[in-house]
Amino acid sequence: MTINSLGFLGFVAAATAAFHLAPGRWRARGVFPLTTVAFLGLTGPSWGALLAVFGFILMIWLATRIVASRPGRGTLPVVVAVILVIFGWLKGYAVLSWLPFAERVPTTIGLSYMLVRGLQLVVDVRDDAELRPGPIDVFSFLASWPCLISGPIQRFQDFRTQAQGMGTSRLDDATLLEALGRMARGWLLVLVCGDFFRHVWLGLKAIAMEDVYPLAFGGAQLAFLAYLFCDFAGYTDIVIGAGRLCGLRLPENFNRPYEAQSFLEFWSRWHMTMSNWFKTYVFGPLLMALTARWPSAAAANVLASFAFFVTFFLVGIWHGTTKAFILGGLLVGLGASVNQWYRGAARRALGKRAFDALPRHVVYRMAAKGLTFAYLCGAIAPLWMRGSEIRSIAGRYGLMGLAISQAFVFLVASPTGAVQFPKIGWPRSMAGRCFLIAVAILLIEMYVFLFPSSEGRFFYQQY
Amino acid sequence: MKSLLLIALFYIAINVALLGVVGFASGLPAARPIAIHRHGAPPRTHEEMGLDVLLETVNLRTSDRPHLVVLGASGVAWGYPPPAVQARLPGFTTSNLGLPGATISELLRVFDEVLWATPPALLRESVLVVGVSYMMFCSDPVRYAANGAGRTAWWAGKNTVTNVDKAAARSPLILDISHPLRRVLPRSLVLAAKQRLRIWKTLTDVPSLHPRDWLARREILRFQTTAMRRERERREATASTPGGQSHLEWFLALPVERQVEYFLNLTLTNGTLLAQRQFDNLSLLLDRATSAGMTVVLVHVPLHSEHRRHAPWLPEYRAMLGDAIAKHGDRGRVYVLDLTSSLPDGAFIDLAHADPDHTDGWVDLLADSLLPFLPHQPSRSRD
Repeated sequence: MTINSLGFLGFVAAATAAFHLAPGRWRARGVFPLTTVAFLGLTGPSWGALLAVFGFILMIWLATRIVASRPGRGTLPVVVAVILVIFGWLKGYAVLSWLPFAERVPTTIGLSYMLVRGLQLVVDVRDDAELRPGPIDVFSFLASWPCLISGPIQRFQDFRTQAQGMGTSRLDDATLLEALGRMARGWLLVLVCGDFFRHVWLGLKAIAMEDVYPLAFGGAQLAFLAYLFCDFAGYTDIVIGAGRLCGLRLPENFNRPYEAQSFLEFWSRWHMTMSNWFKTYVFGPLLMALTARWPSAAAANVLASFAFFVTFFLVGIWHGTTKAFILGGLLVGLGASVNQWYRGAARRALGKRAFDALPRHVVYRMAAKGLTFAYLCGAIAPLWMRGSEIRSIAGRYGLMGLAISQAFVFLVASPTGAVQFPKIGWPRSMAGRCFLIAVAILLIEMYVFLFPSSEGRFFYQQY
Repeated sequence: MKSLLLIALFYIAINVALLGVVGFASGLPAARPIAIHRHGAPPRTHEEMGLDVLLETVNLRTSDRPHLVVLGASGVAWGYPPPAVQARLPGFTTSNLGLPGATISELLRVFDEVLWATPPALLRESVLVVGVSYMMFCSDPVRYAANGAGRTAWWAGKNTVTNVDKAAARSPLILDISHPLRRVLPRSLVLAAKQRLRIWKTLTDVPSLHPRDWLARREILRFQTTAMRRERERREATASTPGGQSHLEWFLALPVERQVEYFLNLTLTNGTLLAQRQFDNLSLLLDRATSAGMTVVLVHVPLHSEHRRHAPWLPEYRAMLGDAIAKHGDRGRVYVLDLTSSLPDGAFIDLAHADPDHTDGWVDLLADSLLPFLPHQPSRSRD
């Protein structure tokens, strides 16, 4: 079962019915975990994978117990290191191929997301003496079916508060319409818009690989970004809607990233739950440690740039440890640190007020947006190109070809800096909302029938 | 819930309005003789032809005369244009459901669709012509390997996906005859839903017309600087492989032995070509057709003389086919016609397919050969 299938819709309907028919006290600790087990069974690639997932969750729970019982400074790093090694072993990372049975570990699902949620829980258990989750709580949180596949990354504290409210959750017309509206918009984004851009991206990629065609290569980069946005934002809409049916309010993951006018602003609008996680658990502690070691004000900007580099490099290799992902991590890290350095240097040179006023100039906005997307599209190209393809493109295109490609991206992206994208909200009336949902269903049905796609899973599902 | 009801009502209303607009603008799809392959039409994928089978068979539901349904693979699809066959056998409404690349499994799948769409009374007067050649008896996983590992639909219970199965996945509830929900839906509702899909399909009359294809044809995307263009021209000048040759031209330029070898290499499994399962499927097809009261004519389709000479599997194939037919109990309504060596080599474009300019010979031969088996039909000679 994939989230794009009618089977998933059936599952959501059955889970919602079971949830709301059950007495309130059984929902959070009975129906919800059981539907999560069912979801794992329906989506898990194999029994071995399920066993691995259950084992990983059990390990996280044990880790919370260990950290809670020995809250000294040395415990947490050891526990985190053990979790990371076992995670890498389960994910089949090449650097850990020397571990026993490394080649026989089954392919799992949603493990990267469980890792970040699990690490957050372990760290917070150390800092919060009142946080002592039981095994069922940890299971429901880590494997929570609405966000199992690709997030969004919810904090345990938020999940627990919402789980406590599940008993009184009611399914009225307003909730149902809110949930169905999000899900319909999500599927429209994934199955129609995302698939459209996926076709365009693959078509342009094929042309770009035929020979040296810089415009096709630049177009492929833009189309991939558009596809990734539709695919991931659509997925997030679907699971937020599905979660709503079971009394969960999952955090938003996107805030109009196409409006970003700098590299760092883009990442504060894209996959926000992961960005926030890295900001809280990597960037913040790292910057604090660096500042404590070198407390000079003159070094602050350099240290922040370095902390951004490390953080975004880790974001890159969180996606995978092949050479392509390492290259992607380096490029994203470099972009973030250069952006931070520029921000600090320009603010110092111009003064805060003049620097903050810069985006009011349309030419500045256009240039900033063009640069942001030209760099971003190139930096994430390793997500869709194998190492051999990157070498081939770099070898054949040369500096001139690559420069023309990125200049093309710049030219396409920069005019959007001069316009304000309108915010289209849902109609307030029930009839208006129902009408839009019906239109979305029909559009999806027509597109899927006329242009069937062989791709059933989300792009981010592979991580 | 009030909101669910409203969504359903809006959905129906928008559907009706949209069908009205599209139907009014482009007209309803015509109930013409069904031809899955049409000479001169834009090239289509096998899956798109499979979709045509699933949608066009709705035309079998009504007819003022019995049906003559022709099933087979590319030999049948190319060789027997329905209007020409119907002109020779005017007592029948002719449909050619030949699907290029089809195995017997796929034929069985198509025939199930025919059985479902045609009223029983009409079936009893109708004739089924099954054109077969040894290449249609190869293993499904090999023939349909390009379709991937297969769908994971829980009701299907199989891993191989024929092109018709793949097409049915576009709208499984309506198009997949094995879908458990479709089995309980009223027949009239499924027919209406298929008509709706036929109207939608008129929106993409040129097959595969995704906006990507339009974009891919924009020359601007192949912009190159002078240096890049010169480098490309230099590479092309030193390239050893000649460009601009189509796959068909390349294939036809091969020696005959290599052409046969090419066909066989596409379909060999563990050193053998013939899969017992396909012969069992043929038995099943004959059973279902005769149980429905149809007259069945099994036709060995014509083959080029060089093909017959170089194909190593023909004797074994004949023996296994004989066994499959012998197993069939109701032999009274199953006839076998051997046209393998009945056409001159000039009627072929390659080793197995009709030359589009010489299909008259193919049609005449089939019509004349069928006449003795057709219960009450006059023949109209071609003059």
